[in-house]
Amino acid sequence: MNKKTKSILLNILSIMALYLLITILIGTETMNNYISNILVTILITIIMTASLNVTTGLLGQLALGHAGFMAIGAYTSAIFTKTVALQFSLSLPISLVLGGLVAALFGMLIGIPALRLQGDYLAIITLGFGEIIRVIIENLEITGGAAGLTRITRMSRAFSEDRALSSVIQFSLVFWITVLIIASIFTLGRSRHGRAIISIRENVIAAEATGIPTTRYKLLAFTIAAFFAGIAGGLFAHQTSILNAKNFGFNKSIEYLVMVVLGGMGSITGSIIASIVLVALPEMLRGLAEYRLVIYSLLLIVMMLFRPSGLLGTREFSMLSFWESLERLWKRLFKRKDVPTRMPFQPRYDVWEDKPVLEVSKLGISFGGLRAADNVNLCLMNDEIVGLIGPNGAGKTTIFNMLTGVYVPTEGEICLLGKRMNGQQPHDITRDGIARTFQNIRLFKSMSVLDNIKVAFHSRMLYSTLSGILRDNACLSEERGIDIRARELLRVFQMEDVADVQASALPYGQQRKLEICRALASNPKVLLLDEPAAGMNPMETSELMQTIKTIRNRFSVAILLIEHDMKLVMGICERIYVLNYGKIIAEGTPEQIRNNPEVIAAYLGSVDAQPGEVRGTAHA
Amino acid sequence: MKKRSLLSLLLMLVLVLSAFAPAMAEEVIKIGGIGVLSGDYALYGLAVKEGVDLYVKQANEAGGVNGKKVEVVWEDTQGEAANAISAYYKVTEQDGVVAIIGGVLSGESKALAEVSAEDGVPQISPSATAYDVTTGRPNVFRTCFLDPFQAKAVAQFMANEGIKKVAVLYDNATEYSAGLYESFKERCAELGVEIVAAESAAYGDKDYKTQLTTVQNAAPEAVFLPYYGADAAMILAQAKELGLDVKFYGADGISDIVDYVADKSLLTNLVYTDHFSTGAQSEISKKFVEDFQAEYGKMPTISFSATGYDAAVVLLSAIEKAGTQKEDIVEAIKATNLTAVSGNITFDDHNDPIKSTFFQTFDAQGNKLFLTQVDP
Repeated sequence: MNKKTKSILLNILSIMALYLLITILIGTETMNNYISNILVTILITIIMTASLNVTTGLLGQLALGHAGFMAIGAYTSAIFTKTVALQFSLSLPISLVLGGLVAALFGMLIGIPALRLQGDYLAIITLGFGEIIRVIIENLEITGGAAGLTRITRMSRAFSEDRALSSVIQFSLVFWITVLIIASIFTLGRSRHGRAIISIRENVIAAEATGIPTTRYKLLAFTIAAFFAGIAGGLFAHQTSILNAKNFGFNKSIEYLVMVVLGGMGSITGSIIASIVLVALPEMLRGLAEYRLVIYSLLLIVMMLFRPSGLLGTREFSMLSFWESLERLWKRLFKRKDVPTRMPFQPRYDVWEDKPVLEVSKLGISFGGLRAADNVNLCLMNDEIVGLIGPNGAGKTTIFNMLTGVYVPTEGEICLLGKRMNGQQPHDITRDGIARTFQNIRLFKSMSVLDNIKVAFHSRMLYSTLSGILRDNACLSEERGIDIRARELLRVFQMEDVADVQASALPYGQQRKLEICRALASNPKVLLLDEPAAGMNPMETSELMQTIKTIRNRFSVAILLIEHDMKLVMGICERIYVLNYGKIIAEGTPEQIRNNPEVIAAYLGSVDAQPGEVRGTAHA
Repeated sequence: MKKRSLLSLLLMLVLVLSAFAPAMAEEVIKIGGIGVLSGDYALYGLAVKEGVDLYVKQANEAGGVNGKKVEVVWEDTQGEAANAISAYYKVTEQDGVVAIIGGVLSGESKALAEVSAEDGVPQISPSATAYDVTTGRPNVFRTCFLDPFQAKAVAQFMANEGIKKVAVLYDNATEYSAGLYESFKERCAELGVEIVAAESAAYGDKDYKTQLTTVQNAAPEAVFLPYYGADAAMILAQAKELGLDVKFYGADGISDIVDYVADKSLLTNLVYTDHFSTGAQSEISKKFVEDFQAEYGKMPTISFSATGYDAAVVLLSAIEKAGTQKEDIVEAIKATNLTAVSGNITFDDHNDPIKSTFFQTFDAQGNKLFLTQVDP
């Protein structure tokens, strides 16, 4: 059985099962009128939101007058059944179709001029339309004027003397109409015409250019939506028995729009779920009296904050994938024997010779009047160790902060492997391959050494929060993977034996090493070391020099380091940039820098240069 | 993503299942209270609730009804007909109430009456003033008088005052306002009072000057304003600006106008019909006002508190006589003849009360002044 047949079969089976279950419950009066009435309301709401989603979601046009079409359908249908002397079970279906057709006609009439407009203009026109409909209905004799239409035959009693049977017939009728409408929206969406409608949402100009008569398709979508809304209106009229134009005003349209937005614009199943939840919720919360509206509104806000594109976004919920996820859940919960190990993924960096790994051009930043960096150009080639030196306050750390996204540069460009990084969040920059250490050590002090490293693997891991809560295979295999990686990394730094020690308990030199180690865990392409030797004794410093070289060779990473210890800088750096007052004043090999008169002036001070502070360790 | 949809589905399931939780049967008599308790018209619904709750509390303190405590299950409709139906099914089928007090607004009361008539559940509305709420529904009653009734009372009152030429400013899009106008017009024709101008301005409008100018040009001796308080307040203020200095007459809906008027002296020009007056002179009315003040620390200025109280009086005394079978209760209500706080109540063929009308006006501080109680 192929996937498609399986999917169709599953859908049909689950709809049938749902239908049978509910009709049996209603028929045996296990489910009382209160519930069955709410179910009918939910179904009508589903038709409304799904049809509104055709215009708002699929077509991508904001329509604010959808309740107007519902009103037209409702009044047409109600007036028909009230005036035409036919048996109700015959006149109702006719009236529903009639209501739909009249609404569709209005949809078309309003659509022809309105759909030449877009966005806000269309929204305002549809809004105006909804209000006009309301006012017209309130002033017509045939619609009962302000008092509205009353004593419309109610479906839940009219079909049969037997109340349970009548309720069952009411539910069946509304249920299958809803199924039919939803199914037709789905099949439409997957046809050539549905593609045309969706292409308009994505890009009108491109759609037009590829041969889609956009105005015609807009009109089609609009008319179809109005038709379905009209049918929903007819059902509503015969559910409540009383119609009042006030109930179809702007607020009602917005109510449906909220549901569509909440379910996800463009997701029909999202609309269905949102309709169910938003109709059921206020009923569920009835016990909370006046607080229910507050809770309801709060839930809406929370939902929009956390899922701004709605419950399902533009995706659809399918029974098949639901079934498959049930299978997975089952396996996850009950068959968790042999969990494979999954290593954290290593980002693939697109490196080749001659292309700088990191290229900074014309970088500058001002803090108010202070020019902390100005026209800084620097580049790092593959696997290069480069030093960045300069007197205190020269702007070295500022440059690091710009490279790692802590500061947003006011001008210039930072490119990592050709990708512009300006303005990105620090964590995104880390994910893209720049890691750093800090001048003053910033370890997660109360966490173990091993956990400090593990935190840094975060951006290289995949499993979801839910997996984490359930501790399923995805979680376990990845956790096992990073445990191996983290211990490997510690071994390189000869820190394996302190893996379970609290970070703050380490001696100073080891803390420095741990910070570098942590920076490497995210598998960066560029490593920024901010005064790695600060506070180290000569023995620790020479050990550090060895470590840095090892890192470069083993991890294939370009290193840019800020350092005042000239022995370290001159000893390991292949190139050096000298920064003074935010500007690069010299660039070259250690030998060139050592003999550069400007550098000497900057460090030692001279007649025509500003005096800089001379550090004891600076032997330049 | 699939996990999310799974979660939302589970959530839905929980919500739906919790709806099936059956109501617990208890040794109390349950009454449903249905009406607008939130939104634009919540003021009226809450006034009704206070009145009903007060009498039920007093009845329970006096030993309950036939030895059983009475409990009111309140449900909010937000003023919508569809919600009223949902609330009806909730209280009758989930909570098992024996009778219903409600709805508060005419629209929701009609929807409620439509479904309660199907089941024959006794229903008393304390405040639905539209005519056809009770038409053809033997189980539906009310304790307030009707729009036509009070419109006619106003016309009669004007005629007695010797007024010959009146103008009407009304909202033809509001059932309440349009209905009052129709009956008023009818009665004026009978009494020979001439309507010199009839202007319509929609509920929610902010500027009534165009209509008021037309009214002014017709030079009436009095103006009938079938509006709710918020709109009437603006109309009175704008009429004063235009120099339209005549008596204004309103119906019950205007009674909350005092909350919307800055210059209270405007109100001395207004006379209106009410279901009750806190200045009413009967013993039972005085006691109600005292009890209400003791319970809520305020006067029952919205008269639906009184009609709500009376609805509870009528219903509980019917249950006391007839038990809790719905047919018996309906029969007992129909036979009601008792003195309640808003006057003596009996029901006519249309299940409308035959009772007193209270005419009120205001002093310059905005306090309601009892003018007269007109008994049927």
